[in-house]
This record gives sequence, C-alpha cells and structure tokens, in this order.
Amino acid sequence: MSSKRNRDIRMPAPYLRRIWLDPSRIDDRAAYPFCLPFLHDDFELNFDQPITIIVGENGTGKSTLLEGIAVLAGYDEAGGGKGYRPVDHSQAMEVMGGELSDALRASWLPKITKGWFFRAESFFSVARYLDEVGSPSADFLSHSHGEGFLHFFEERCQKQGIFIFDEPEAALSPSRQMEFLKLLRRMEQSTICQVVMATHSPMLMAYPNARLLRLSKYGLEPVTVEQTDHYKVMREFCNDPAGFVEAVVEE
Amino acid sequence: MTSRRNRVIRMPAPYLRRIWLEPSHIADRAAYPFCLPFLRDGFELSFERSITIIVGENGTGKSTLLEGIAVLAG
Repeated sequence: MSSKRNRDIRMPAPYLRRIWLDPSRIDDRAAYPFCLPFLHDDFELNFDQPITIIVGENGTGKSTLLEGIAVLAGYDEAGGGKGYRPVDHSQAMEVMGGELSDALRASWLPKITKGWFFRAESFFSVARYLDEVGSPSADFLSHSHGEGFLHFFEERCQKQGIFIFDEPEAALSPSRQMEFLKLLRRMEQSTICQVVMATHSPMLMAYPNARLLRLSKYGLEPVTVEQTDHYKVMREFCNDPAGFVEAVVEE
Repeated sequence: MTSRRNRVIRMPAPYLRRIWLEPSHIADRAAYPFCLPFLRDGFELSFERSITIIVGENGTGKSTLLEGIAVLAG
C-alpha cells in the first residue's frame, strides 16, 4: 500500500552510515582544511548509533568536520537547513566545510537530506531569517538566547532527518542542558532522527545511548565521558572551586 | 608632561560605578524589556569591583542587561 518512498522513510536512523576521505579529490594537501592533522589519507567515520557525539579540544577541526557533513547532507555551512541557504553566510566564521565535503565520500541508508545544521553563533541569524520568512512559530528573538534555542529545537527536531549540533550548550544554562538531554531522548525514541553533535559539555556528552568519539590530531577514537579532559577538569573544579581557580591563575 | 587625558585613563577600574532605572523614562511598562521581572522601579546595580559576574537562568534578562550597559558605554 505504501509507496516506495514511504517505505524508505520508515527506516530507522542512522541514515548517514559512513564517511571517508578520498585523497584523490584533494587539490592541495597543505591548505586548510586538508592540513588538519586528523585528516589522514585513511580518515573514516562510522555512524553506528543514531546519536554520535564528538568531543575535542578547540582547533582540532570539529566544526570543520561538522560543516563537511552538513554540506554532504545538502545544508549551508553557515547554519540552517536545506532550503534556508541565504542565512547570513557572510558572517560565518569558518566556512571550510564545503571544501572538505568535496573530498569526502558518504554512504547513506537511505539518503535523507532533511534536518538541520545548527551552530551556536548562527542562531540569531537563523532566528531572524525564520522570522522574516514568516515561520508559523516565529518570534524566537523576543525570547532570551537560551529560550529561543529550545523553542527552536523543539519545533524542528521531531521530524525525520539528520540533525547536526555544533556546541548547543553555548547558550544553555545547566537546567536548559537538562531539557536538551530530554529532547535528545525524544529524538532517539522517534527512531527517525540522526544526531551528530560536537560539545564541550560533560553533561551532554554523557547522553546514554550515544557513540562518544574524541577528535584529536591522531584522528577519532571512542572514549568514555570519564576519560575526557572536560570531565576530569570539571571534576577537579567541583572538588574545590576556589583552590582550582587560584591554581590556574597563578600558573 | 602627561596630558589630562592620560591622567584620567590611569584611574583604576571600576569606571562604571552604578546604574539604576529611571521609571519616568519608561514609555510602556508592559513592553519588552521593561516587562522583565527584575526591572522593578527600584532596580539598581552597583559595581564595587573591577570584575562583576552575573549568573542567572536563561530568560531572566542577563543578555538584555548587558546590552543596556554596552549602549550606555557607547
């Protein structure tokens, strides 16, 4: 009874199964982003869970990797979703994802190009754009930063697609991050949402059924929350906030 | 030898010492941002240290307050 298209659409996430680098497509190995240490000739990333979380120090190339995935999925690197391309592109800090995606190959099951690429910096421009095009749930900007975020997430993230979040915690207080965890749970339970998220928040990286990967100059490796510097530093801080900060500023 | 301008710059922070709400300048109390719960008629903020850190839940108006201070500072 159902059309072929609908049958495909009922398949559960993850839809993007694997990406890998095709070195023959790289013009200049010495130029950014191909000079990033993690981009070895045999770089690959397997998505074996609906939710993949990437941690890594600033500068390792997390955002560029997410941008590359976003472009593969047909989104604009500056943030937004398919069909929302003109979102303040000139303001994007890093737009190297397009170049990276040219040298990436991807396997999909099936190819789903709906979804959203969400970066913290571009939230205001996305929200302003949605307002301008008269989204039925416009008016994000009259909320505070973080409230706009969740409002936006909840409206967008219950539909089938691949959702890319680049540091969503940037504007979320701890209690909002707890709400964001609930949103992740709802997305996972829907079985039709694939999430790829980069985060510095130990609370978000602890999401139970996610594949947690650490990006370093050596590439991607599976880690536990407890093994991350983010967690270790935060634990030390919590044990003795004043002493910890005193030691840091005295260094 | 030093100009007056340089002398002024050598004073230690904080430079902005206090801000307060002037209710008579508010056109519409019901409109944003004046509807923010923390903006009571007696609202004031004294800056006693060179570093002031504000915490608060999302939606309480932290960013709006900072924007207001930024505009005051030109």
